[in-house]
Amino acid sequence: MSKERTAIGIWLYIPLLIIPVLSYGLLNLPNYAVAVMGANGYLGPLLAALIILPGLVAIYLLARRFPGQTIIEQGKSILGWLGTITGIVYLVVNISILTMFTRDICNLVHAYFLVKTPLYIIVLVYLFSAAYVASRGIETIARINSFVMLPALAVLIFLVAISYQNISWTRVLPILSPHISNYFKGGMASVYSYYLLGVSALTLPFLKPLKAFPRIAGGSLAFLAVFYVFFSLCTIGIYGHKYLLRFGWPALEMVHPTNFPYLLLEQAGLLMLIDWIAMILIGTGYYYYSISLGSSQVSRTFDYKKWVWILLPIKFFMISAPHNVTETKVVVEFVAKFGWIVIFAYPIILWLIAVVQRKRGPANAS
Amino acid sequence: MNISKAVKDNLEQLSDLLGNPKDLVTEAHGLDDAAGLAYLSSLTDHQDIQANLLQPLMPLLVEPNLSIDKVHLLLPKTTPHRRLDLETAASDLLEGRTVVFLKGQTAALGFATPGWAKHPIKEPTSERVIRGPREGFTETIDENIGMIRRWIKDPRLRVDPMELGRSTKTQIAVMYLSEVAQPRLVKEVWSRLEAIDIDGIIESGYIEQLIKDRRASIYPLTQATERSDKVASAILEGRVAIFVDKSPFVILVPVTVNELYQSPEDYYFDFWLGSFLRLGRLISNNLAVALPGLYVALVTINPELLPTQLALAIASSRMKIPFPLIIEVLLLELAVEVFREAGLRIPGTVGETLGVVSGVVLGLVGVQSGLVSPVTVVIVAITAIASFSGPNYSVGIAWRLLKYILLFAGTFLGLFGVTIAGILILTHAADVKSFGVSYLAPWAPLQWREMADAPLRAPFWFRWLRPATYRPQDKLRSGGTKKEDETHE
Repeated sequence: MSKERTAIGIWLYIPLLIIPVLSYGLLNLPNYAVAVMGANGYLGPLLAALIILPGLVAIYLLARRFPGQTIIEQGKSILGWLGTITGIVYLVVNISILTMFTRDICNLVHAYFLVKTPLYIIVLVYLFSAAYVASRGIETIARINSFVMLPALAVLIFLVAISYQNISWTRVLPILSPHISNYFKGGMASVYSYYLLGVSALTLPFLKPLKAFPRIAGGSLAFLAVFYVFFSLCTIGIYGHKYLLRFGWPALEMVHPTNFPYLLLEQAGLLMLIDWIAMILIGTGYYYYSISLGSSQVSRTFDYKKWVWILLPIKFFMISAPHNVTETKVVVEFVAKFGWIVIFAYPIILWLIAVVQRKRGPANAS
Repeated sequence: MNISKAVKDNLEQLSDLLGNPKDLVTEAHGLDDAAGLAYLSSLTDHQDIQANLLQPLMPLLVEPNLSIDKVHLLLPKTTPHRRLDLETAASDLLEGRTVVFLKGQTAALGFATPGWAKHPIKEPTSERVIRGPREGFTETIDENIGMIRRWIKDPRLRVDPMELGRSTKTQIAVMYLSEVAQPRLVKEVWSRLEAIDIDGIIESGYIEQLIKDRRASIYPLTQATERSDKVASAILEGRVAIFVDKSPFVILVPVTVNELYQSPEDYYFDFWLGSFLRLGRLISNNLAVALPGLYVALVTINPELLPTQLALAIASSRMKIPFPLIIEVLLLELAVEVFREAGLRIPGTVGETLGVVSGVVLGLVGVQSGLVSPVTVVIVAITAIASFSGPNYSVGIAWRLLKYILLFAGTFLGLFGVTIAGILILTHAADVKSFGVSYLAPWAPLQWREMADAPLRAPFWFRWLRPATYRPQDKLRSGGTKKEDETHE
C-alpha cells in the first residue's frame, strides 16, 4: 500500500471545508429542523454548528497528538485491534451516508433533468465521474474545489439574495420558540448538514501547517452556519414551515418562485441546480476519496486509487437496491439522526481514551 | 581523424567525410598549397569570405612558417573555432562556417560566415494586435535572441546554449533572468531538455511535446508564441524561454490556463479597456467550448429550461429539418472545420474570398433547402468566430476538441451531462501541472493578489510584485510605485 505523499496549504484546504459541506448540506435543508422546530427551523443550522464544535476540536487535538495520521490510523494506535474494528464501522457508516446521498442526488437529477433516462444510467454516470475525481488524489480535489468555490458561492448567494423578495416575514414568526427542548432537537436534526466537516478526520494530515486548522475550520463553520441560516430563513419565509415539509428538495424550491422573464433561463431553480450539481460532484469526489483512503489504511492492502474502483460496484449495488424514494428518505433520515455519533462523537471518544492512556504518535511522522 | 600537415589531404578527406556534396567548395591557395579553405556555398556568404577572409589571408601566405595562432590574430574575422580533428571541422561546415587549413599545421580554424536565406522580421500572423510592436520571431535563433536583448538590457539575462537532435544538431537556447527565475525551474527545464534523445528537431513543437508534464494531456502545458514582447514580459516575470533554431515559435514555461487567454495588448491599453477586452476574450473562449453542447442539451433534453417563446421559436425553425439536432450540429461543425483547413491552404485573397462565399452561400442554401435550421447556423457561426478570439492558435485547437466532449455529453445527458463533463474537464485541468506550477493558478490554489489580474487586468500601480505563481526569487517588480494621483498630491 503506497501512502499519498503530498501537502496542501491553507487556501487549498479552506475550499474543502466549504464546497463539499455546502453541497451535501443544502440538499434537504431545512426540512429536518423544521419538522422539529417549526417556524424557528432556521436556527437549527446555527445550533448544529455549536453541537459539532467539540467534534471538530477533538479531530484537531487528535491530529496534534498523532501527527500525520488519519482517524483510522489513530484508532489503530489508540485501540489496537479494536481500532481496526471501529475503523471499519466508521467507514461503513460513511459509505452508507455517501450511498444515501448519492441515491438522493440521482433521484433529483432523474426528477428534474432526465425523466426518461433509466435511474441506473444516471447512477453509473455519476458514480464513474465521482470515482474519476476521487482517483486524482487530494491535491487535485482541493484544487478543483478551490477553482469552483468563488463562482459557485457567487451564484448561490445571488440566488438567496434575489429570493428574499418572495419572503413573507410573518411565516418565520415567532422569532423564538418557548419550547426550549426543541432547540437541541432541531440542532441535532441539522447536524447532518455538516457531516463532511467531519471528514477532515481523514484528510487533516495533509494540511500544512496543521496549527492553522482551528482558525480555518472555525471561519468555515461560521460562514456555513450563517449561510445556512439565511438559506433556511428564506425557504421558510417563502413557503411556511408546514407547506415546506411537502418538498423533497426544499433548497431548490426556494428559488423556484423567482423567475427571470427577460433572461434566457426560465427558472432560477434550474440555474441553482446546475451550480449545485457541479458542487455536489466535486463534494462526492472528495468524500469518495476520503473513504477510499480510509479503506486502504484499514485494510493495508491496496492504495486509495484501487479502493476507489473496488468500492464503485459496492456503492452501485447499495444505491440500486432500494427502488423507492420514500425508503431512501427513511434511511437518510436515520443516518441524519444517528450518523453524528460516528462522525463527530468517535473522534471525541478516541481523544479521551488517548488522553487517559497518555498515548501519542511519533512526533516526526508525516 | 587527425588533421594532416598537407592541406590538400585535409580538403580531400573533408570532402569524403561529407560524401562529396555538390555545394562543398574546397580551395587551395598560395605557393605549394600554403592554405586551404572549405565551405558549403549553400550556407555561407561568398562575398564575406572573399572580403574578410581570403583577401586578408593572401598577403600572409608569403610568410614562411605561418602558424595558426598568427592567422587567428591577424585576420579581421573574430572568434574562430580552433579545430584539432576533421570531424569537428566538418561540423563547422554544416553550421555555415568556413574552415581554414594551413600547410604544416595540425589544427584548423572555423570562421563564422553565415549566408543562408532568411526571412525578414514580420508581424506575427497568428498573434496580431492592434496596439503593440509588429515584431515577430524569424527562423534564425540568433536574430530571435537579439530581439529579446533589445527589450531586456540586463546583465542578468542568461542565454544558455545546447544542441539537440542527433542528425539535425538543432541549436537551442534557454533564456531567463538569473536572479529572478527560480533556479529549480531552470534546472528542471535543463533536465527535461537533456533527456531528449531524438534524431531531429524540426520545429519547436517537437520540444513542446517532449517536455510536457503530462504527455497525453489535451491541454497546452507550455506556451508557444511568435511575439517578442510576450517573451520579454514572460522573462521579466521569472519564466523561462526556450528558443529553437529554424522555428519562429519560442516556448515559454511554466504556463497556467490564465495565460492562455491573455494578450500583450491588454497591458498596452488603460486597465479599464484592458480588463474589458480580457473579459470579452474569456467569455468568447467559454462560448467556443460550451455553446454547441449547451444548445443541444437545452433544445433536445431540457427545453423546459428555455423561456417558452424561445423554445417555441427554435422548435418551429426545426420542424422541417430531417436530421436530429446532434447530426445537424455535427454537419455544420464539420463544414466549419473544412472551411478552416481549406482557408489555411488556399493562397492569400482567394482563400479569404472563398471562405466568405462558401460560408454565406452554403449557410443560406443549407437553411433554404431545409438541411439545417437558422438557429443552428447562428450557434455554430458564433462558436467558430469565438474560437478565434483567443490570442493563441494552438490553444484554440485544444478548446475545439473539448467542445466535442461537451457536445456529446449534452446530447446524451442534457444539461446534467454538460455539467458533469465540464467538471471532469476541469478536474483534469486541476490534475495537471506545468513545470511544477498548478495549471489553474491563481484560482487554485487561491492567490488573492494574483486574482486581481485574472480574469480582469490589474492596474500597474497594483502590480508592483511579480506573479507569485512562478515563484520568482526577486519578487519586487516596480519598487512599490505609488498611484499617479498620490504622487501628484
